[in-house]
Amino acid sequence: MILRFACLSVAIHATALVGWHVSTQPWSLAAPELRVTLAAAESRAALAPRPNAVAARPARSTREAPAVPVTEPSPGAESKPSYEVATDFARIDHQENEEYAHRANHMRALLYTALDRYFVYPMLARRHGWEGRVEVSLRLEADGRLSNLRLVRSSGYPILDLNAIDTLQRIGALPQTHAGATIPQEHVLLIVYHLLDG
Amino acid sequence: MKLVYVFCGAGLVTGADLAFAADGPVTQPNPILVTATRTAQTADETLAPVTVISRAEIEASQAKDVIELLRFHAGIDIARNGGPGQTSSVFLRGTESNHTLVLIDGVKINPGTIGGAAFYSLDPDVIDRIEIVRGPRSSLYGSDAIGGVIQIFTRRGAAGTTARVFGGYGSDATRDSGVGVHHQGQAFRMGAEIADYRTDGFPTRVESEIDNGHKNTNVNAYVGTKLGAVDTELSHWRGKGTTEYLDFFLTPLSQDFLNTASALTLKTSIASMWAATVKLSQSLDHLDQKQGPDFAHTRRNTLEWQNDVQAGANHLVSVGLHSAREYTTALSFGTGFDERTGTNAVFVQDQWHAGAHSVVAAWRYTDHEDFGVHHTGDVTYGYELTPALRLHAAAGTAFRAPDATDRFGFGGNPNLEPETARNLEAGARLRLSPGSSASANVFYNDIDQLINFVDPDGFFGPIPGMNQNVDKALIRGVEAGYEINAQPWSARISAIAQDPKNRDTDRQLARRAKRSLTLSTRYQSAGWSVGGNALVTSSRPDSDSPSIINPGYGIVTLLAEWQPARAWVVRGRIENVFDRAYVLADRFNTQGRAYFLQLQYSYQIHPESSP
Repeated sequence: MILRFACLSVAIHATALVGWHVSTQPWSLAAPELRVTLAAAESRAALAPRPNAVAARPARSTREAPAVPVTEPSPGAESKPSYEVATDFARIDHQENEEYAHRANHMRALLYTALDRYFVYPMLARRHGWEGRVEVSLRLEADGRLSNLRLVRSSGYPILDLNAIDTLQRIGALPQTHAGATIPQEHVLLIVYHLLDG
Repeated sequence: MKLVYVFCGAGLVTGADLAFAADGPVTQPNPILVTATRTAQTADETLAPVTVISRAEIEASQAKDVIELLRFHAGIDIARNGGPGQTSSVFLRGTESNHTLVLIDGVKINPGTIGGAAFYSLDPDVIDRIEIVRGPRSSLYGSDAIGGVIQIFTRRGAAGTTARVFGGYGSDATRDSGVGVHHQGQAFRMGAEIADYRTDGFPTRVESEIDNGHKNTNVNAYVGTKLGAVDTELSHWRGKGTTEYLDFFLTPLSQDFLNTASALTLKTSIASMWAATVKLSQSLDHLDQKQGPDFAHTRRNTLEWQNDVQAGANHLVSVGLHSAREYTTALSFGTGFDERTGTNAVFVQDQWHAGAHSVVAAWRYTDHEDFGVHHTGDVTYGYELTPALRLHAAAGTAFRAPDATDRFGFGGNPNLEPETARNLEAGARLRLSPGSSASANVFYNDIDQLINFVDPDGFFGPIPGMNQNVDKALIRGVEAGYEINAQPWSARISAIAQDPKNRDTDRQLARRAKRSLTLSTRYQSAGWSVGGNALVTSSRPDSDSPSIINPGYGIVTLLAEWQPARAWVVRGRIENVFDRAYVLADRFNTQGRAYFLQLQYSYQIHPESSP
């Protein structure tokens, strides 16, 4: 009972934090939607805790923890986000957690290696010597499609931000060799535009 | 259902990991890295022969004037009436000395009176880098860019606050000293540098024993802000000094010079795909003879507005407006004038890529107060055969507007037309390894309407001579270069074989060599480096009359640098190591073996944000 409540509390706190974070973003291509990034969580996926240690976690995780609006895993059924409460939290499978974390990291690595070669430095930025870091959040669907592209952090130059989002939109989906059975995940990609001297 | 547990669990599991991310955005382990090489500002080097002389190369060369920097690049012939500070000429790809446009921080410094840019006035100590683009560039840059463009950028300092002070001494009582401080912050930057150079010199003329000295003080100052998308900068460069020389009768004389380039530049993004630059600038070129009344003054005020628009993923369009007012006054051997010349121009450049193909096309419409409208255009096609091998071919036209002396000086003719040039070239660049590359270009430059003084019945005849568009020149050549950076060694070698000739007389053009070879090498170790520059060039006729031929020569300069501590650098240089007597201009001396030693102290505060 307490564990159920803890999970709900986490979800609500995280949503509130993310809602605040999202509302301060200056610019977005996609329709404004409450979307949260799981990427940070995934990238540091450590071994899953043993179920009895979960109760101790919520206090720390609420500080910055993103939570994910849970939807059905099928890609077609995207609508507004909804939240579900764990009915029996104590039965979290330790094995599944670890597997999930590995899978998430694997998908992330695939994303980077697959997408890397599609990016071309915008001519205008190159001519003017503009460099920067762009963070874009997206949702990797089960069939490999990239959807819900949103600018998370601007580089300071609109053309670099636009180039990052446009390139991902043009890519559309992970190449077939990399797709396959994936679970829908949110990711935040960091794209660094850097000019080399000489 | 399971998803819920997993999500909640994952969120909770890694909540702890986010503790250290609370201060800022979460960084990802391996970002998508999008890189490109920084393009030269003057032209895209994949489509044009561009030579960049970097700050490192300028410091390593220890050159005391820009002529010394330029001469060790094949394809750049130089002539000088004596030592540093004396009248000098630069011939890019065999073209005339006033066929090279010279810019300092984007401001044209070529005089509105006779002659080429005042290279004697530039101290390499305040220069950050030099970009040399060979070939016609009039479409983008206007008049004078027939042989090419030399764009000089003054120093700006690294991130944070830096300061330096230096002093040196050498042969002929040559002394230089300077101090500079720069601050480069995120939103604000400013800096100021002074460099002073003076020398007792040596006799300019072979028949004389009187030393001809030179002194020059360069100042470089700027202040700039970057607020949001708007970058504003106020910059000022000046070179001021005095040069001693001998006149035709070997009488010692001297003249004062003043050259400035000042600009207010505004750069902004008007929309995400549209960047605009507005520049209001002024340049001065003053020469005042001290023992007599002769002088030549140019003041040029310019307003430019350039828009760069990314019209598609691989398509960049630039449109620019250029308006200049030139005030020229001069008095030379009794002939004087005081004139104002206005020039307006609009230009367009279109650059696009499609796979391995690139095309750049540019066109300029110029409206000159005297000769009226003139069009120039050029098109370059580039093809990436392999990622390591790029080919390019170009065709273009360029022009030089008749200057005030041509129109109003001795033999002045206000009805002169511009000198025109048509150029064809092709080249290849091959990246042999990450640290080495080779390039080769072949060019054909056909220059018409060259202005020359014509006096059909001779100086003493009744009909006065007049400047007219009479001459024609043809320059064909092939140039090649190779550079390698394999630490601790680095080396650069360049060669040119050209045939610059007067099309009517078939004679080789004055002061330009048919064959040149240059070599620069450097060996860098921890804390010290040694290197050298060498130049070998073939014979050159001294003037249009064929009787005097200046023989070919070779010259070697040795350089050494030692860094005893992080903030201290000691530099030594031996110029013309073999004390070779050579001729650049008939009856004028050149520098024999000369030594120079310099000590520099630099101070650096890195920005707080870097670890």
